[in-house]
Amino acid sequence: MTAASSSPAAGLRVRIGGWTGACLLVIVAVFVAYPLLQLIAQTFGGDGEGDFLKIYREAFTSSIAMSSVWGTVWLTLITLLFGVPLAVLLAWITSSTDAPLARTLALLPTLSLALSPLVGAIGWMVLLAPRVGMLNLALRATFGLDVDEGPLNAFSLPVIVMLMTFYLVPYVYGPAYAAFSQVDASLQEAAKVCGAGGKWTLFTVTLPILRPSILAGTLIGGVMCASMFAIPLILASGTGLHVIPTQIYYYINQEGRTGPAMAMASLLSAVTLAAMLLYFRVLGRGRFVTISGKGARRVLVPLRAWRWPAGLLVMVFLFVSLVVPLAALLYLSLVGFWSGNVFSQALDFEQYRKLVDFPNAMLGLYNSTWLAAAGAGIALALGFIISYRRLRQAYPVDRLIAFIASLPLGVPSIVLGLAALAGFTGGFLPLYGTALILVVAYAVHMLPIAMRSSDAGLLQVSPELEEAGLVCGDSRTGVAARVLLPALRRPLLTAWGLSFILLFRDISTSILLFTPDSVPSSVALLSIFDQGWMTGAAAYSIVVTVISAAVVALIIKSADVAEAG
Amino acid sequence: MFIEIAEVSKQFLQRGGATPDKPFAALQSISVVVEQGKMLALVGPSGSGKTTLLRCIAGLETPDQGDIRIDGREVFSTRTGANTPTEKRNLGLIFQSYALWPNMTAEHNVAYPLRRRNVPDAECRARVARHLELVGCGHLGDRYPHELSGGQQQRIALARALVYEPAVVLLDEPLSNLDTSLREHLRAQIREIQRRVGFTGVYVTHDQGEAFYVGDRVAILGEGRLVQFGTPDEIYRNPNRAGVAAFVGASNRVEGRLGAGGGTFECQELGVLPLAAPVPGAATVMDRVLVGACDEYTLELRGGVRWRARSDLRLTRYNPGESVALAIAPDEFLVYPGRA
Repeated sequence: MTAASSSPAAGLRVRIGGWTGACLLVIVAVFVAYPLLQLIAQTFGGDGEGDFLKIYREAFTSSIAMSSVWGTVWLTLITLLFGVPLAVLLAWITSSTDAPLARTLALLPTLSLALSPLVGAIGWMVLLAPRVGMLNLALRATFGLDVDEGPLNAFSLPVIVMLMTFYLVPYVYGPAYAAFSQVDASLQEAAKVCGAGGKWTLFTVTLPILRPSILAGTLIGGVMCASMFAIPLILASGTGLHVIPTQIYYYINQEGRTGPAMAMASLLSAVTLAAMLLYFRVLGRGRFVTISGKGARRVLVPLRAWRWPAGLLVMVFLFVSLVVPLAALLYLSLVGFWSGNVFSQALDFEQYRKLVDFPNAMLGLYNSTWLAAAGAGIALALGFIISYRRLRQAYPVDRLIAFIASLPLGVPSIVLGLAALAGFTGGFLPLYGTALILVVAYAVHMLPIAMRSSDAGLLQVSPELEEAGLVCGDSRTGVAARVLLPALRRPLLTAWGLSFILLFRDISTSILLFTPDSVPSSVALLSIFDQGWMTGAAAYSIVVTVISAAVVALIIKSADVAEAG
Repeated sequence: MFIEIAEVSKQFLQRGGATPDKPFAALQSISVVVEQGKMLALVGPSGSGKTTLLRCIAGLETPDQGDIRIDGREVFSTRTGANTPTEKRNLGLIFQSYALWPNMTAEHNVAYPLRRRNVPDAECRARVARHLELVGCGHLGDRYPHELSGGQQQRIALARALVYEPAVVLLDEPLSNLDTSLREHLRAQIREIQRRVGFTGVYVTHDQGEAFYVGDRVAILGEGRLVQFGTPDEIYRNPNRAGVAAFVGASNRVEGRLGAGGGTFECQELGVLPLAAPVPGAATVMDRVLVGACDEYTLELRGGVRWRARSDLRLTRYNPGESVALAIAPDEFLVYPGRA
């Protein structure tokens, strides 16, 4: 750190924190703040005659546009209504009760992050399509129903809400599980000693302690729901449900009108950013449970007669949300023919072989792999440096840098794509039309996750470990490389892997930015689907999911190795 | 003088949440010196600023004011603007938490400072082995920190701080995470190693017994100020104020007035009494507890005031309820001016 000095130049150096600080500030300003500001600025262009809000009026003239606003609000709220209690209940069962297999299954709801919502939606369509959905066929055969359609319908609101709920659960489950695991048993025992029964303790002590974590999960889950693109895109046609993200896509893709799209994006972002600021507030002041080196002492709640039903609930959730749609896709991809007699076909790998020749299929896998790897890597490197400076060196500028870098958390991913489009088409950095714009958008998209993970990791490593390195004569960078990074290998690797998976499956950021050369796998999947080649879409979904799952497995394995070594 | 600390001050901002941040004076113009090869013990209650002072010497905190010189080298000065970074100060520091790197074995932890100094491999290995031997952990080199007991971790941390023969070794409450018997054993070991190796040390503790045991000089801090500085003998015999006297173990306190010529003492609890002569029936035994080789008595004086007294087991033992005589021996009493 620099000595206190009175010259203005030195004062500025202290505030900015040297060249690294200046570079970081420029990077987040250019790649995070500038595109978002451009997006907003371009919506206020009007017609040049002083009509400031013309574009906004234009965006909301059609009845479909208005209904997309209500659709987003409705879908988000109803998903939270179902998803949050379910997630908290699942977290409580796996973390705090003696339900069978609870410990084994504890990580799985988080794992369902690896299942792309696009793949999930296609999977459920395969099961529940009115005419030839496998589940419908099976139901009709079992109950001898003499109808051509149904009894169930994939293109319906209940199915959409169910899939949205599956998608939401991991976002709330994660923080809730962590919080449940950290509640020290002595707190609950103290309540019992004071005469409170088990249920009473749950409602008066345990849940209030967890409230901040649950609220935080709910807020961020709400942002994710309001940003959801893939599920309504596949399943909402014919239901009368419209949502803002798909409406933005239609404005650009069908009508070629960027103005109204940007106006809608700005309004949506204003709401989600407000939710994010609230989320930071909740995290900032309300977290009663803190991470300590040792886990808190825990006593499991005996469920007695409810043991098996509780365990079964967790298993059914995993089965329905993960196994069922994937199994349907796997089966369809091997059958190779989607029709009324889907159950009497021979199985082969023909569809997978055909994928090789499908335009963009292989290119998409290749592109997504390197784009996601690069985006996740850049985000992690930047996020780690920003987080390290904010927590360890704390120059005044670092708080500003960290704040800007965390903004993308509150911006729906399709809006991030649109912002990149607004910021980097022409101008001083004409990245649009190259693969680089995807790398940039991906890195920006994952920057908050990378930073949060680095924060969590750094908070677990006592600063004394680094000070010990300094005292031994090592430089700050040396200490970071030789002490900090090895100690943080596990959380950083996990953060990279999570970012990779989220980017690998990303569709809403990419769909406005890709070029014929940089088609990502999700867009390739969508084009296979759009051409009506359902068996190919099923096979491609399986391939994409296998790659994601392999990355998850690789990370869990190497994290174990890091733990053991 | 090997370490010179001159008028060092440091303020922290106390984060007040809703209220504005308040400055809090952690150190107020502290000056102390340490001779080469001697150990200075910094002692005081928590919040007295002792750890802050140690971290200022290490360069982990930057003082607002003052000068720090180590071995004639100015490592910090607000006069000249000098501020040598921690890694260039050539210090050893032992943390309360030991701060052993969890991803390295004991051997690698100890070897780390040597590798940073590009010590050749063979010499490095020899020195690591020698220092592990010195702290009695020669057989633990390939263990990871989590495979070591608290005492062993503390010894490895000591070896890591000594292995590169730094000019100064700083110890920040090194024993406070250990149980009593281990603490006594290790403080003896630290004192012995310090004498044998001859390093100059600064030892922070809140335990007065530990400070007097390991320190050649003791500096007592309170609320960011230097309260008293001297050898343990000087401080024990002549605490310069009543607070220090209480801190070094004087347990009975009485306020009163010395008679003309100093022959008598008058106070509320005892009335007027001659100095050095026993006053029969001045106190009642309330309780007797066996403490080590002594009995410790709780005595009640007039007016309900309680004193504590110790006596050798071989002397007469009194039972609760018995009335005893008290004498005030002038040279056993420390006298501090009162409000007059």
